[in-house]
Amino acid sequence: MTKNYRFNMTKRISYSTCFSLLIFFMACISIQPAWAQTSGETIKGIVLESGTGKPLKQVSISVASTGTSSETDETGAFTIVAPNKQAELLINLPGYNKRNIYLNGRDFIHISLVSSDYNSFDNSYNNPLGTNSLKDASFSVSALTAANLKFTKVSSFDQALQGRVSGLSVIEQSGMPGHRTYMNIRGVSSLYGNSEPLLFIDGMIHDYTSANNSLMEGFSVNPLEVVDMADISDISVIKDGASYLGAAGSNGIINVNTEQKSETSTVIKMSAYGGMSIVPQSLDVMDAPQFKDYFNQLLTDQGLNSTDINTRYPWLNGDQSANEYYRYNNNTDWQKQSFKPSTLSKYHFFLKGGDDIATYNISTGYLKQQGLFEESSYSRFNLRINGKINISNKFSIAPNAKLSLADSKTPNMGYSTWKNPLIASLLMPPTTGAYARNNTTGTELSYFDDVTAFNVSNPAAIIKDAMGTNRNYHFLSSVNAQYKFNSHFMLSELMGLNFNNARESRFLPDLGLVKIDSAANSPGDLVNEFRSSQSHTTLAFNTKSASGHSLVLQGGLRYMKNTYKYNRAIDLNTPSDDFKSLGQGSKYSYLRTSTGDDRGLVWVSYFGSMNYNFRDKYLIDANVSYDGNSNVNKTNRYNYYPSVSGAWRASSESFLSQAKWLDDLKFRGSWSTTGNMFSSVYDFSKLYYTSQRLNSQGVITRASIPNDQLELEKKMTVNAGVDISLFKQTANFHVDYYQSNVDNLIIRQELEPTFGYKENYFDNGGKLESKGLEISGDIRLQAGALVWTVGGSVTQQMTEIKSLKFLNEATSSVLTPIAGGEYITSVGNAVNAFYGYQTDGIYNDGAEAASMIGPNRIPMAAGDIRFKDLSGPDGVADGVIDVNDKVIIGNPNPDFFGGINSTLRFKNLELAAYFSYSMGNEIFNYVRYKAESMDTYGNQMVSVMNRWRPGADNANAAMPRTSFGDPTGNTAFSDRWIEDGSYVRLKQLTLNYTFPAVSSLYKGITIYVTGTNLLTFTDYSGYDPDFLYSNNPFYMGVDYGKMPQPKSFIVGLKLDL
Amino acid sequence: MKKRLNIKSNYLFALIVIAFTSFSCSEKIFDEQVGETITPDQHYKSLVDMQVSMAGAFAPLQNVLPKLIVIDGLRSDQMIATMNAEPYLKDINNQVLSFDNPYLDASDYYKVIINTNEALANIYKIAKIDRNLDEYKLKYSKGALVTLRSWTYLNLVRLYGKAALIDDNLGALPANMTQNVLEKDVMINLLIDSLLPYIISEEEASKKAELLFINFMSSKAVLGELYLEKGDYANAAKYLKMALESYRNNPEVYKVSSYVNEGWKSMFLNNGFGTGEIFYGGAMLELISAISYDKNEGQFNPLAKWLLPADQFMVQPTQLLVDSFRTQISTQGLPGDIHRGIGASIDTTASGVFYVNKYSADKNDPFSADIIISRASDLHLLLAEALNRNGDSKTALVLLNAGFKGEKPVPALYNKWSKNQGIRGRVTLKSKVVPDSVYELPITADSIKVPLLGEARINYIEDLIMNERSLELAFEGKRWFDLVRVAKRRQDPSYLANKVAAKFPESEKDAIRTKLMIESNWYLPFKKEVAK
Repeated sequence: MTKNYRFNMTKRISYSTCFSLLIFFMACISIQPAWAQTSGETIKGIVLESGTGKPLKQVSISVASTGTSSETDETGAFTIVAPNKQAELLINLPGYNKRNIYLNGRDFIHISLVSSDYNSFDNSYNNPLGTNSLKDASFSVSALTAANLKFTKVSSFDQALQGRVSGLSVIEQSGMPGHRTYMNIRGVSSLYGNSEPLLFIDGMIHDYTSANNSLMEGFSVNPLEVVDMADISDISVIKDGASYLGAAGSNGIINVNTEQKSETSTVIKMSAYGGMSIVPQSLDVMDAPQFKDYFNQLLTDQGLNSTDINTRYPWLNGDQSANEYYRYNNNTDWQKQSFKPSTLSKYHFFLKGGDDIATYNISTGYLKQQGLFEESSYSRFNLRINGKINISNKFSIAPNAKLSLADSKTPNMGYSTWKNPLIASLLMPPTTGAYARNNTTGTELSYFDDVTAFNVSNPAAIIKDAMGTNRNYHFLSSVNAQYKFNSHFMLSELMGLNFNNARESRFLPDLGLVKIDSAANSPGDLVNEFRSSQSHTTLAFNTKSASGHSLVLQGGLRYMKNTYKYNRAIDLNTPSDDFKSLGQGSKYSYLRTSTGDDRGLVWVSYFGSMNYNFRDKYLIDANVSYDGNSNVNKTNRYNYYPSVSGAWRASSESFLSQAKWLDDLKFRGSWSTTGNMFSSVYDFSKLYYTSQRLNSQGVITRASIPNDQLELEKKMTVNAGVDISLFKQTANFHVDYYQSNVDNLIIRQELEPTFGYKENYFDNGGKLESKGLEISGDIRLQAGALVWTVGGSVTQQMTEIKSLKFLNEATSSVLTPIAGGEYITSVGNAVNAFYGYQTDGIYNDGAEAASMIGPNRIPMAAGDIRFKDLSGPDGVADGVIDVNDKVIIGNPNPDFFGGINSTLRFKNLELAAYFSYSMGNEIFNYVRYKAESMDTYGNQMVSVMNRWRPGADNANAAMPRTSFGDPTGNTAFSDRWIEDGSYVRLKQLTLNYTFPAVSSLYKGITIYVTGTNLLTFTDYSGYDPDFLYSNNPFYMGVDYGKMPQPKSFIVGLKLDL
Repeated sequence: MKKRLNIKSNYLFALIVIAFTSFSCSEKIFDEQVGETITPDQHYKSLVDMQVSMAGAFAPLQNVLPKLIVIDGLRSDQMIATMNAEPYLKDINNQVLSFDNPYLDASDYYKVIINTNEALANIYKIAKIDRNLDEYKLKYSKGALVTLRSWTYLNLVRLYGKAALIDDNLGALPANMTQNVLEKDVMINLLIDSLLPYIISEEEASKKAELLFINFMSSKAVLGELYLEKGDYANAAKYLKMALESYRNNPEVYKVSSYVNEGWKSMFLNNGFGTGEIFYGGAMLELISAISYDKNEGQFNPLAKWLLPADQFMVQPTQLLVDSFRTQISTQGLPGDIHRGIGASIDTTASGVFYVNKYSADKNDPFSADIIISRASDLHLLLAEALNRNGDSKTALVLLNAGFKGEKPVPALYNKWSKNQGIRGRVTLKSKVVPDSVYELPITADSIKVPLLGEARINYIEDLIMNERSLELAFEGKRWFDLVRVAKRRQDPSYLANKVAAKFPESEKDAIRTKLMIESNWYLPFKKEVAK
């Protein structure tokens, strides 16, 4: 077998060699200048400023093919001699976007120039193959510049992308400073693999999806923090056509470049801001008297009479001499107690310099932001050094290094109510206090109160003592060597290392925290290590004929080796809360857990790309890659990924080229294929053994029934788009419609028990389709010195399961339980829709209720929720609430989302507002599920006051009865807990003023005030509708109570020397 | 054009660079280890590898046995579900058997089979490399694995009435997902045939020491049980006796002689069964096979959780069984089974609630309690059953009662059984005597006695043996299989139906009895019913 396989391999290698040769021969074919002209044409024209119509003088005009140049006069007019009326003119004026325009038969030409402060189709975007002009893009791309991302308090660029780019969904994980976001381009593409875009930072692939391990629930390291916001020069989002990245490209690309030196002189920039965040508005929970009434009811429900209650809870009814009276007779507003205003600050220093031979950029930044919980905080130090050395005029080397050290201190923000301070603050009865009290005098003591009779963790103790610390060390370094053989050929080699090491430690104290399984005082440590070494080799060829044919060919090889490793250890029962480190805990090894993993990924990819451009009128791009990776089983390791796209610039055709109102009209179409190798599920394509314990011995067993036919998930995308620019580029619109299909979606098969390993069998049995419409645009209006820019995007996307082919005929859908609820993935529906019962009010009549067997398989009672009995095993309602009555009760994905931005500028004063929105997404409000369950002694929302009460008139009761322990299942996952999560949020409002430059002292001073999250319009009843538990589609839309995003204000200063 | 020729050397240079970087693209660079996972070619190199794999094949029984014991007790007349029981257990108690009931899931049995097949498919590789694995040991190791697989299949067909035959290691899912499902009788014949080549004959064992794989079942015992299930009593008796005479027929090993320790119940103290070790000779006197747990190693025997009043207490002994223990008469003529009854197999809380105590013999650590799969008393009673059916009721009664210790002379066939105390003799209970005549059934005022002869006598003795099994092996996962085996043998479903119905309150007895009169209701659901 092995020998046979080797033979196949050599075959493969020869394929790849052939491929290299192909590129070589393609490169040898040069375009003959077939349309050579002899006589010259005189071309006249006028150059005006876009928006104002002001004539621009001293604009440099030149003919691309001949180098003839001219300049505009005071009226903006110019005259130039071109070889023919098809020639290409280059127009340049500092402070404005450069343009190149084909005459397309015109001898008089109106040219408008857009100030470089504004968006223009002449801007460029960066992709992993190099820099291109936006106007030449035939795939769907978007680009942002540093100007779009300024004056913000966000700590990493992903947060700033929310609502900025059509098709790119960014969900904030929480308001915890330094948190990361979930990014997604055009919907989920895999159930078990990664769905986040591939990130390039200065040419290096940055695999940020792996560092998801944490000891703190709801926290994951943000690997994007290695780049300081202030260092970014541009971000490009490539939504399709990433076939040249093969198995790494199926989720689109985000390409981030940091600032390089472009000026000739030395530049020093400094910036700083400071500010604060304010506490969120409290949710309405019951106060002390209301809670006492509720508590009494719970006790009465359990059959206790007033004497019993007095015996058990003597402090409950106001007897000051009762034991623990002072402990249980407070009136604490726990939310006020827990949330504290916090401060934010950041400093950044940037130095650029050098000469023609060598240049350097050094920047360093320090950021410190506090979280809303007193002890939570985030601080980070960034250092970036890059440069470029021109060894000869053909050969250059550009080293690049980034370093970040980030410390996060955060509490657990997950579904374990006993360690989540936010949920504990809601559930902790107001009658208790943070600190213990002297039993006789009531004086507050210096230590926290322990767990009370209500069995809720003391939020103050969680916040003070149950914090975890994450220290993230990140080093990203590369060197790029380029050799230019001549004006046509260039060879470039980028090699680099990405190293991310995160260390975590956390301690769960005994005092004040509810004990689970009698274990307490638990220290835990985690070490995450990610390493990626890469090599990207590219040979590029370009040629351009005078008649307007332009061809760029690229070919090369990418190699990436990643290792992911983590070790985690948790100890229990240390002697006291003062012993917080590993090894101080129990001698029983079963109380200790240590886990770890060590994974690797090797990826080798050959790629080729071709861009053909005829006079900016006809554009054809084609890409192909042939790649293999170590994740997938040998049989299906190598794959081809082709793509092709074309664009037609209708506005360059003679019938439209004279239209003064139309600057650009371009139709695009593309077809591309990509793969998704970032998934550990491919492990199940291999037969392997795993370890298990039998008594004290480690033994090995089979891990699964492997599926050696398992293929890489492949995505095919068809995109149609149009770019329109009107009225001298003051109105620009981009529309894209796409459809992508994953026809071999990996699904989990539940095998018959007779196959033993029924759980871990995966095959390519599903089909997933995503389609969507993306519209973005911007309009600029100018009246004298007043400039108003308004822009926005709408993204409508729908991901639907088209087919699920289960081996087990009894299975028809994928059900995934999550804490408190359940997801379903089924044909014709979205991935991971909420799946539960529908409700229809409350049973008032005990007899009627008793005729229904509830979700807990016992009859319901008066005051219980009336779940809808939709069906039964035979397809008709059967008087039993069970799996047959579950339906889809919500979809966590939005119908559409996007952002709106508006900037009003008057001379040096600018007011900018930026909204993001999400519409039609539904949320499982787990926090309310805990705070309206009425099944524990914890405090509840005020809404439970309007509950069903025995013997009362319950006509208007909106809540069921209190039910300690919830025997009948009122809290079962149902539409009660699903809410509309739509929102519109004013993410950022900035007022800034730039002082006119005084050349001797400074080049620019800008001061600004920014407010973040000032307004939110939503019906969602939780703290914040924009959150995500973790970067996993399986937790979409579940509000486990993370730190809400606060309103905050900063005042900042930018100084250019 | 000429210029281009000049720079061609540069192209060549570029090509060389690409070729150079692509040479690394050999098979090897993809050989990344995925986490802590071992592929077959990394494994199976030494005897140690074989041991961990064999123990690995055995390990899924940690999940199988606790469920087997509870299913057995709840379906038979030995256990009932308490108020605390979760609905799935209550269902089993009420003979409501649904495919989705996790207690009835068969997949762990098939895990044993797949892992056994995996080891069998690879074990030969070790023999090539490691000289310590000689032909005899290889045969013995394979035999141990085949025995494990046979035991697993035997239990599957007893539980489900049929089983899917998996004859390879499922290195991939078969193209045709339809499995070869064999009915009980067919499967038993197949298992017998597969096991026979691995039986170490007396002659062979006398030349070379018989190996013992700790935990693994005795192939002779499993073969004997297969024959008994089939109704071939001569062969059943032959192999069960051989099983008890293994390890050079040592008079102490497996002979139900003295106690291992100071009392019968000490058998259930955790023996700390190691795993996978091979050693010679029989150190164990009583236990043949057991599955072990170690709380400190993160394996919890769930029975402690399910059975103990201090924990979930979902299942408890039936009053019938309690009474049965209480009505035994000792050799001194006193009532009660003091060695095995209350205080041993069953215990009471301070408030007088009975609970299963067999798995909490070590009060300090019930979560690490072993579960015995096979022990000498079980085989003795099976042997007695087979002998009785095979026409040797005398020996059957000897084994049941006082053993060969008191027999003078000891029959030649049992010459090394001189220490055998008999099942009842060992726990100082009065021997059961078979009367010459019994009252005609049903007993009324004018019933007359009829001589107990032929089939009636055999049945009478069989009842005694079955009753003894229910006491000696209470809560060890044997009772339901016993009831089914005897009911089928006598072609009398009421034998089973009446016994099980007896534990239910009057109002429910009839419904249960009616249900259990139908043989197909004795088996667990094999496949999910798909709604049409």
